[in-house]
Amino acid sequence: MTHFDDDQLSEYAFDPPAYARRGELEDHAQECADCASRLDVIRTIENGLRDQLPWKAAATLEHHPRPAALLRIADEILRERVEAETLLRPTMTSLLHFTRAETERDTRFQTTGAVYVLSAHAEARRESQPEFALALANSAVAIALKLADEQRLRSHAVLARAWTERSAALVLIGKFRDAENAARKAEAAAEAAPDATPHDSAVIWLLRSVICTETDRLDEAHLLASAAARYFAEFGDTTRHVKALLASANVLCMRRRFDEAVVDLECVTALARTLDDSLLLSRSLQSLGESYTALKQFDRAVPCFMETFALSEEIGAESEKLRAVWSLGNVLLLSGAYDEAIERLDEARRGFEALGVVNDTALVRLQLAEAMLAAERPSEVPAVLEGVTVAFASEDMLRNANLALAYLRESAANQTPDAEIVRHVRTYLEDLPADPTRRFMPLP
Amino acid sequence: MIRLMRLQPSDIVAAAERIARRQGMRKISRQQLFKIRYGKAKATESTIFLVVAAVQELTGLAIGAAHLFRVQPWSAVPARRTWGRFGGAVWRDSVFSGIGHGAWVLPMHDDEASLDVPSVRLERLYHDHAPLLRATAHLRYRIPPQDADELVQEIFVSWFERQPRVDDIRAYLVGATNHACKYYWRKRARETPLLEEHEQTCDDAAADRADRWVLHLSLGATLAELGGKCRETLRRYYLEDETSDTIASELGTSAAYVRQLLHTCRKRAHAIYRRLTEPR
Repeated sequence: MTHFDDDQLSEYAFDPPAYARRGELEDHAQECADCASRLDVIRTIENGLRDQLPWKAAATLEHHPRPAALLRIADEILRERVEAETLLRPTMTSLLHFTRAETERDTRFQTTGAVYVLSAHAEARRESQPEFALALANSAVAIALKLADEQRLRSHAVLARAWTERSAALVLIGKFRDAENAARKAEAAAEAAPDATPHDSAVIWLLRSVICTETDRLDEAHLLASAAARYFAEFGDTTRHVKALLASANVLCMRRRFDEAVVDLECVTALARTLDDSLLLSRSLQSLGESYTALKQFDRAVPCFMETFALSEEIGAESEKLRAVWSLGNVLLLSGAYDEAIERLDEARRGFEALGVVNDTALVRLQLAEAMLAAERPSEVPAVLEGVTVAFASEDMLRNANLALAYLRESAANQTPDAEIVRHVRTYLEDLPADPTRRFMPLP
Repeated sequence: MIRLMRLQPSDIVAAAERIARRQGMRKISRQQLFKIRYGKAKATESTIFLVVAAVQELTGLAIGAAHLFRVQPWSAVPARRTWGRFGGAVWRDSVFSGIGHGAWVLPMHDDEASLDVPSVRLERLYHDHAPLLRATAHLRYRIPPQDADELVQEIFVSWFERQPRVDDIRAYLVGATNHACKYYWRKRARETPLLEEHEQTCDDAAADRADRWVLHLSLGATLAELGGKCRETLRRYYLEDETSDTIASELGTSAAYVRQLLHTCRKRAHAIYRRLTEPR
């Protein structure tokens, strides 16, 4: 296919009847989305130039000098940050070292730039060292509050960010109530800033939606993620927009509203394809595939898992890859291809065990046992069930989960394990995070 | 990044060698660094460690591996609380990586613009987008020109203070301007209330109107950047509906020359419009 360049498209748009290759171009534009879209832009410009408004706007836009005042402020902001970074660096070797430095008492750190730098360091460390990130965020909050009190804080957005970092670190440590308080303070600080934007709030809403999901407030989580998604779209933050949409669709999955989830996830997946983010795409596909599976649309689910597998392998995301293998095993099991299902599930089990992922290993083992019973290989089941253990931070959840596992072991000890009992225990464990207070009830 | 910090590869190699000696690691050569930098070789974990440590030592900045290399941090970290097959089980990981706010001490986005020093980048952004934002404030929200100027300066200061990681800076600035304009009038609600369309940005019709405004203002910004001769020729042709013959006779030149001029000016306008409107 020979494409038309912008010059040719422009010549055509200027005077279509006069363009020598008119027919050829029009035929090509019907088939080629790229040329058609470039032609659209050119036509939009051509039509727009016939309107009064752009010409009026042009008259108001001319003759504006170099923004000297703006650049002076920017230099000041930057200078403060570089100074803070230089001062902070020697204290960053360990949490102990940082704590001993008492940055919040040190007058050299009493700047908006220092708050920004501390928050940035907290963000960079929160995944790998959440306790350290929390200490950094606490210091940032303390300095920002002091500066605000003395009316020396240049922007409340910086205080909002410091609170957000504190909240994010607390989520990772598992202190959800404190995290929620910090998130609310972040929201209040963001709203108090005269230069506040809905984008600032949306970042906090996305975090709050995480907290709500963790604390079993799924409706609120859905609402917050959806609202955040809307503002991310408006502010050109496509990546966060897709992440917020995925979060809200995943809440629908957790609510088992798969019909609605499929509609949203198809849209999320299409958007994720436009981004250069294989992990995000693979996660969208995984959720979409699982939703199709739940709706028994296996022929649509399988390609999703295959693509997830390929993408995860490409970026080296091992746990995502194993989840895709597990899902394929599940589809095979549901379709009655038991021996192939056992192969896939066992592959996923070995992978999860190697990664040290306790809970998913437990679920795969239970499903593997179901597949073995369905394939009439009951003698292999006790060995599979033997290693099933779970780990939960919540005592209630752990107690309930262990109760379910004790029931399973007791049933298996007395007789040949029963597929229905295994499935009952597995689905209970699967649903537990979404419904953490539900007590385990043995089968009648 | 390395250009941004005005570092010489030989300095990095020398610093990396000192660190390697202290840590008992294998040093890296200048050739190796060159190959990694230009994508001819992949960096190993120890190379990344040495380069990052060397850059930290030379600049005094807490630069991480992700600022210098295209790393996939998630690949090394299994999901924390994995549970179940569906993406919901990993929802927190996928969402969490989106909660981060801004850039580092210096803007370090991996695009062409980040190769400039921050103030140059800010000035370029200002040059590219301020006309559109000013016109949005003035024409769409009827904010007096002087106040519109001030408001736009504040938008840029606010952007610089946050340096948010967004995919389309222009959309971010336009969103921030819309919001600031509404806030401006809300504070002066008794003077001139906002029109309904200014309050509703989320419904489709209002979004369409907003899009048309942005289009017209982008075209305005394009025309403002064109030279006077081009703008005048295009104005006569498109707005006054004059033919190339009429324009030629008024300018005392040939119709062929005017047609050529129109062609060149349109081409230039398209290029400016694309530069102003493509996401960055």
